[in-house]
Amino acid sequence: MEIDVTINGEEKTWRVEPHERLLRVLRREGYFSVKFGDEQGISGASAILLDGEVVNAQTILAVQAHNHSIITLEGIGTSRNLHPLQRAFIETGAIQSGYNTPAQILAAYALLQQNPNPTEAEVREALAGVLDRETGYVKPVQAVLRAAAMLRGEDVPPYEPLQRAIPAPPELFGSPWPLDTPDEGDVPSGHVTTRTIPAVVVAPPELEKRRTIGKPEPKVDAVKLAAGKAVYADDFEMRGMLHAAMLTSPYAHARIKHIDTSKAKALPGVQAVLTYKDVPRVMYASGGQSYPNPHPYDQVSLDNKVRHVGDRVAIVAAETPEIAHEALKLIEVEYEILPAVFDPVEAMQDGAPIIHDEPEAIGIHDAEHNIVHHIDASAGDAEAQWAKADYVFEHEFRTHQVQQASIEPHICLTWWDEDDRLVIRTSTQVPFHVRRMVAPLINLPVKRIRVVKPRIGGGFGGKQEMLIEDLCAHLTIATGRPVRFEYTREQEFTSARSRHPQVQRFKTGVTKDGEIVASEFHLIGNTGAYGTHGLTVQMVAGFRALTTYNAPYSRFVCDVVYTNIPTPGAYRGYGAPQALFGLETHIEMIAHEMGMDVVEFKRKNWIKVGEPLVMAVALGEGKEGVPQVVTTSALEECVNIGMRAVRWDEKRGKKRHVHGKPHLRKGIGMAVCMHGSGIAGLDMGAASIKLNDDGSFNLHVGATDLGTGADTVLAQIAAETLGVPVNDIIVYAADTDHTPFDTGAYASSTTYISGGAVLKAAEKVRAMILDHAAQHLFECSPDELEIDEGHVIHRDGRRFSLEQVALHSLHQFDQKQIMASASHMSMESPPPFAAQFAEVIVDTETGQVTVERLLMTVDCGIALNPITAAGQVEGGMTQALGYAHCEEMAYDAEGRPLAKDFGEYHIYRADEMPKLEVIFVETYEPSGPYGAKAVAEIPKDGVAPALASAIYDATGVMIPEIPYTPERVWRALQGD
Amino acid sequence: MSKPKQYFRPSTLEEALELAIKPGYIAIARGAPFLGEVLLPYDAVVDLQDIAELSTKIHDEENIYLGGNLSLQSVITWEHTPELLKASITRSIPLNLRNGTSVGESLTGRYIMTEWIAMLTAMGAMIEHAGSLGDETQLNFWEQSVPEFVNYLHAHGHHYQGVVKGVRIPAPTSSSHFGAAHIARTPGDVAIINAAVRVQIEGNLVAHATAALCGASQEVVLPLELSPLIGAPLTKEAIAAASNFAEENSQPISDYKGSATYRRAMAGVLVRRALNMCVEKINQT
Repeated sequence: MEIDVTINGEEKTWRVEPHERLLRVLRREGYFSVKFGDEQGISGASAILLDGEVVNAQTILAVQAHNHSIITLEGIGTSRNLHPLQRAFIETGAIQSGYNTPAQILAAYALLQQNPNPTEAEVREALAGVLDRETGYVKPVQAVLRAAAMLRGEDVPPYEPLQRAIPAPPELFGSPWPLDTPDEGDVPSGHVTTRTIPAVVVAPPELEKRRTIGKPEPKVDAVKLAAGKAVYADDFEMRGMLHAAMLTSPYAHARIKHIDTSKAKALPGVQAVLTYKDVPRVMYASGGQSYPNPHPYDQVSLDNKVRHVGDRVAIVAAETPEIAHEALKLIEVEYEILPAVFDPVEAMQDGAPIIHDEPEAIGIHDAEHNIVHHIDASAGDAEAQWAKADYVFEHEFRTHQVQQASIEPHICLTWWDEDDRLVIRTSTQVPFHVRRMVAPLINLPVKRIRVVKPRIGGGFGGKQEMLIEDLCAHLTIATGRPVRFEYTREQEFTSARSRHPQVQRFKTGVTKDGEIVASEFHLIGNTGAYGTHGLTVQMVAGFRALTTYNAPYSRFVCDVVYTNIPTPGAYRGYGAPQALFGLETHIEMIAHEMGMDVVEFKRKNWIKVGEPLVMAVALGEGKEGVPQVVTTSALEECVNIGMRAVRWDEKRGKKRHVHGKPHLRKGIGMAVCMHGSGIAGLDMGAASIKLNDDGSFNLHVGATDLGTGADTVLAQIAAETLGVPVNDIIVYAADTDHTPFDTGAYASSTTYISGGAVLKAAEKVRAMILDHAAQHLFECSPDELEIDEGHVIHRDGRRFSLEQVALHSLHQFDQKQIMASASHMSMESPPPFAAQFAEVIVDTETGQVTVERLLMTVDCGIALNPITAAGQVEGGMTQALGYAHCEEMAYDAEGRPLAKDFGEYHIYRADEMPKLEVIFVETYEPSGPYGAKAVAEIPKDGVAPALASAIYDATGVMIPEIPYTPERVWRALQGD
Repeated sequence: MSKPKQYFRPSTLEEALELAIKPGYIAIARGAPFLGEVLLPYDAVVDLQDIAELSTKIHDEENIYLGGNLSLQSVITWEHTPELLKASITRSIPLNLRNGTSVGESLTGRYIMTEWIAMLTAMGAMIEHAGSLGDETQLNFWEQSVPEFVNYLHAHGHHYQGVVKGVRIPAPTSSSHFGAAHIARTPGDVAIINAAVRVQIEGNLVAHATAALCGASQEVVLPLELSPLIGAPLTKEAIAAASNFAEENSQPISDYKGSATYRRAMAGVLVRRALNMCVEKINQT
């Protein structure tokens, strides 16, 4: 049937089917700013304006729009004519992956049409229907308020995102504190700042001399993201493309006795149905990790056994997504249901169901007891150190399973190119690992595979996995046609990856003076149905748990255990959030039991500059590690500055409550955090740079910007070194045919490792430019030359532009392409440090916890781009808040997930956020590019223990299990 | 062939009803609660958007009337909507879902808007609808209380073939007072358990008192006549008795958000808090 619509002011007639959602039709018609996030529309990714109202195109039939007016982001502004909202989103750094940016801008646009002078609360309410997993909503709210002021015609000053150049400690402590803002209250309308204050940077003064390093440069991809251009994996059309759908197991543990696909294959429009009978049985590990992938190899593309609800059973390719999903219903499967086990402790017992009984599996420690790995690693003299301990403390903790919940689901397109090479366009954090890992599964050599990573709509570790690419490729091989495969939102919860639940026991020996002398960490990590990241996540957990306080004797004992829950994997933080929850809570409990001040006890024991990391050699990541020493740390300053900012001494231990409501107790808590910068001795990145005719540069990197701003930071490193503005650096990233290798975006490695490669490559190119200019243009020594502002400048004042150098070298004399490539790896992983503070109100009658404020003070070395770094901290804290407070993958007794959409699996919305604050306390890390360490993951580490600490301050009860849901807290208060 | 295969946009209620009661047909006004699945199970969609009478809003001395087609957002922006009724929608339902959900769909969809339903119940709202309920296929016209309607639908898998014409809410009087309370994981999350109450004061005595709780029984909403309050002043002791009464009369289920033990204990707490809200309002007047 035909519908008439007015879209972005143009009248159109479209042919649609009665079943088609408006989202599908809009994207078919080229309005790619409208995105899929979930079937229910709760993510808000598909937001449009229908007759001026914000609605979700995913939950509207196209036919309902007949005779209505639609506005999409394309109708508000374009990259050449940006709307003030789009400009404000760019200026304020409100865009990370940008996947939901169009929806946020549309929601804001609708608000400002109705209310040109909104309060911050009204802005937050307007944005509440668009979930944002990345920014913590800080900068989007700032952007809307700023744009509102612009649209009202006010004189809006240049955006000042940072309070920079605050005198460094110790002078800081004598100066008026800039953060003394009221605790309560909203910002009145008309103001362009929010109650969430700009990030503060305590910076060394010499940084001011830099051109671009340390400056809040706009993201290099911001304009196209703000304009809603077609940049993501799904924003790509191919003639004859098929759509894939996956049949998954309804049972937690079963054997497929019989499977009949004949009815599905007979459905008109179905082009292929594949089961275990149709694909090679090649064992592999799906975690996107360096060669050789850590054991176990316990997966095949399609198996005759299923090990969790949501496990792969069959895959279909059909002419439309609906036909593909209809075909799934026609596949007849006879299961032999097997006993299942969900608790890792039970899974290790004699007689527990054996989850991996297949003989081909490689590298399982004890399959009969479902133990994938057993680790027992130690350093130091156990006997001597335990002998020094006057007190020994033991506490147990449990952490739970949560999902990355990137708004863009896993999505992949595969096709044969003109040379019969398989192209995989996929939303991945690890394109080079995907190419290497998928090759044996589809029986193609690496040289016949090209993996392209477009922009990614959020990953957070969930896309550090070769998760769907093999299935999509199998379908292209079977049909010869392009295939598109996207997970449903339910499959994101049942068939993607998540954070490992853990059972932890800490044992610590302390002298009567409060010195920690011995520490043991016993861990049972639940890796679910498959091993994938099971080993390395638990090793990182062990390393982080035993390093912050760095006891002279440390021991890590760990079992990584199979169960029948959906498989955990990599999730931002990678074992550290679990470990630091247990560790910091344990340390605080020790301080309480010893009658010591918590901060003083921590300060006395935390690792300091010059100290070797005791467990560095014993615990690498999947293998033995390398020796490491702390070279820089501002942890002391982070704690001191944070305590002053939150007025710790005025609040802690003061038994406060909300006025007139004695059941609403106030509490404040803190935790210290320590992370890493890449994986020492393992991660590697490479970059190539070439000079163009006009003096600009192409920077090609294998590094994978998943919304973090990595491309921007890499461009800044190149620009700083080459003496040009950032917009003279054209970044192209992560295409296995066209860019150098990189291990990928994980382990907080991109700035430190890939940035190191860019720095080296840029230094080589710089040297080539100076050589050529010195020899042929200046006739002098290169030592007499500098590059600045796009020119090569002699100390006598003569100057040639880079364009002149490029044209000369390319076309005129001693002709050559000035270009270079470089690789970088590091035997160090300098730790970033942070202090996390939290303020809460606990309802002692109901157990409901309301988080009022989160502040993180962070030493990430030099924040190369403080605006993107602040965004990382704000977004990371928000994810960590969900982990500590409300997010939970829950199951029924049969292992069926109960939270399968964003209604049940609640992630924080814009209108319910606590106050968020970030302070950077910079150090100069000599091994990092321009002094940088990492910042991406450390914001995930401290929120849970800081909440535990704050709840303790409010109630006197320490709760050793998260999340802090009302009933858990209530029961703890009841003494249960 | 993918479903739905047919689409109708009738312009009269009679025409819509004729279609809506057919097996496999569904009537939608905005549709968000019914279109959130990968494959839709409906043979045909009957789009009510052109039926003007379903979009009426009436406010008179006796009633507030909300047409079934009105979006929840338009309920919020209407000046005559009681504040607590507005609040019951805004806290956990964001704007785009409010725009995509009609008053009728808020009562028939599987996504249960607990605070809205509890407050409508406490306010004594009646639902006017026409259609077939459950296994019946004959067209009937109904006026049912909110608990009758939503609990019936819930028990029958939300299988509803008909049209919600509107919701009639008795206009609040100066002697009627309302309160609400909830518990949720976060400030914006769907409530684990929530309560709404209405207290009618005549003289200094409680003439009528009702509570509505969601999450406190196996049904969507548990309506309770708060008999311990009737005929007495609304004192602390009376409220405590009503709180105990609510707790004793709750028969909740357990799920991952809250056990039956917890919900039962909280039923009393929330009824007490909602009644205390009424006391605050009484004291203000």
